[in-house]
Amino acid sequence: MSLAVIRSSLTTSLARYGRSAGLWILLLVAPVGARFMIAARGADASLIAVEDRVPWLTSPVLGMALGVVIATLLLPVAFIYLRSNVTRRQPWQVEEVSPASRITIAYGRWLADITVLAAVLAATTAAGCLLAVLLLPLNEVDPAAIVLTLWVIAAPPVAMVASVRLLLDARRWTRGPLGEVLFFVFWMGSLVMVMAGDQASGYAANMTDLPGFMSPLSYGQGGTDNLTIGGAVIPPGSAPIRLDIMSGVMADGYLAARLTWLGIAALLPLVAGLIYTPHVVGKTRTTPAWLKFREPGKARPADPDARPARASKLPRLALVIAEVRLMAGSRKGLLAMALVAVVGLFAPYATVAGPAAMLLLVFAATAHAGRSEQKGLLALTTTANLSPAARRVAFVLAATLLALVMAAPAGLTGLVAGEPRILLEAAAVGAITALTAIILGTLTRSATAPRLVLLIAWYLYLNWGGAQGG
Amino acid sequence: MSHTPPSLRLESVSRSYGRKQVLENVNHTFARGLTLLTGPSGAGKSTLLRLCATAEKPSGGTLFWEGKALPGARGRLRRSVGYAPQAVDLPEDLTAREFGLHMAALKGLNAREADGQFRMLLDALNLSGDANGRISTFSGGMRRRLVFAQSLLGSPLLLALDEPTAELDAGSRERVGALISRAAQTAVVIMTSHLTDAISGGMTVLRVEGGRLAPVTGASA
Repeated sequence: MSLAVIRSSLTTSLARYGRSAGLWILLLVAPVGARFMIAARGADASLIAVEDRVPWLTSPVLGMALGVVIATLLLPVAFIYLRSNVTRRQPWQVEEVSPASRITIAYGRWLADITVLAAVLAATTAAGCLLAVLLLPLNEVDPAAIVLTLWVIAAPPVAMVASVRLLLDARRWTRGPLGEVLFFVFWMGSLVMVMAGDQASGYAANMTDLPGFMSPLSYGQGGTDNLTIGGAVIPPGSAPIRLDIMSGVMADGYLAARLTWLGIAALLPLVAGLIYTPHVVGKTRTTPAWLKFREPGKARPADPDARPARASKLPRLALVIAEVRLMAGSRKGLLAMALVAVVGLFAPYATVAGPAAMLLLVFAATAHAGRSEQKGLLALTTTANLSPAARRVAFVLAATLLALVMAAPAGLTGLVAGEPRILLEAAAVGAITALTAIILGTLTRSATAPRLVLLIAWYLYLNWGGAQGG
Repeated sequence: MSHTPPSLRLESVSRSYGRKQVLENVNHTFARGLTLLTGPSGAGKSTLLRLCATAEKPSGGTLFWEGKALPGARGRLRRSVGYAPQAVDLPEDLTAREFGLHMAALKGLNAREADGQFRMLLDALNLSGDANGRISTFSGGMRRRLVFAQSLLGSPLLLALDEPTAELDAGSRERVGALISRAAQTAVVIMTSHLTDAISGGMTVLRVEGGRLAPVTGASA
């Protein structure tokens, strides 16, 4: 029975992936994107640099570059793909009363996720081999080296993404926004851990390196930690650096650590099955008395003589106000926004109030975008006087307005002193956040993709603010 | 398989959501045959069905399946239950047949026999022509019949059906009613519905109101 459940979960998930446009877009985009992940010989810019120099392109370097970019920069894309794609909708109402073990269902889905991500790696590998033919002398093209370096580096973190996705889907709290926050922490943690970890070689040191780039990049470079991933500024006239990637991959403890990470990833569906909690239909908790302020409050009594509503004189303005209300949400949301506005008076806007305001806006805007772009609701709003497109414009205006309100105390103080920067910055952050939320929400019909992308943008904004403030 | 008729006994069962008491001290034994739950919207009919189908746990009291207490007997009950809730997040991109076979696998049924039974059920529900159609193309009534069909897979001894005839035209109601009547000859069938004209044969009618369960006088046939 267990094998039948695994097989059924695997095949139905694969069928669903295969029928979604997302998979084919991903399989197309991955090889096209591969071209931008590697630097040809003589290039003066590169996504990856060692000692501020561009790696000299060889077959192992090409495979390594593709693997490292996937294992670091593109992991959130893999997570968004899995979490907001077709398989996010499961018939849990009938599955959860079946006698099937959650562990077997989890393994079936994990294998399907792994298969899809492996297909993306395979497409990237094929593109890597083609690029090697185009960019390298033919006698230097070594497909085996490309396959080995790319897969050894990228497969463990990609497998971990599939496992973490299952873990986050297993618990009630992490099926929502908290899940995206935890993935963001996991992803950032995996990057920080390797940079902060022991630079020495060996199994233990390599176990702190989930993305797997330290040993291949730093082998033979005297244990350097001057590595750049994501876009390096290369000083003019710098000579390329020759890296011994294959020796780094074969170095003491590296392969064992990669296999261990794969083993951990393969064990996590078991944990996900064990900790699985069923969905809830009704509200299981009521708000404690001391948190009653968060509730919407009592409805006003109905007026039996109420007249039929007339058309609004300013329907577009009313739409923006309605969007502000829906985005700001409950009294809890309004209270938090008021708090941020007050904090802006006393704390530096660039490092404290600005990032706090953006974080609130990220959660408010993505939740509302995910809700309002659902197919059923769109079908309903299409028949309304104001089109969904007008509502999306109102959405952006509402978010910008909320950002300006949160920045108002600090911004107006600055304006009095002849410094309009805070208000301009708040408006730009609000508009960009809202545009990202509504575009990604419309494309994916889910809050996951915009939330994760905006969390990454928020982290960049936080650091940018720190740099400005510092 | 048990030789005694199946039964589900509720002993002092209650269910609350925070301070809101939905079911209070419910005592009843559901025996083989059809039991219809009636009552106003929000009275707790669907909650009672979810408890019977093990989709939820009671806040208090105990359920007994064939004399064995839950949660110890939950696995045993789940091997015997067919559940058709009002709303299911159906996998839109699967075909009806793929969805049915997936549910059969989760129920631990023989794949070949489940395929045959599911074809028969789809045919009985006038869906056989759409067996290989994507669920995304299905109307509300077709989805309702599909969810109902999966609940009958295997030979469930307990059927929990939440408004199985809602959104159905008269012909479809007849077909669903015939299958329910047949199932009630061997299984415990608990159902909520506002449309019972299609059901033939006897039934017990219970009213859920104020968190309590009470027989409707003169309604049992």
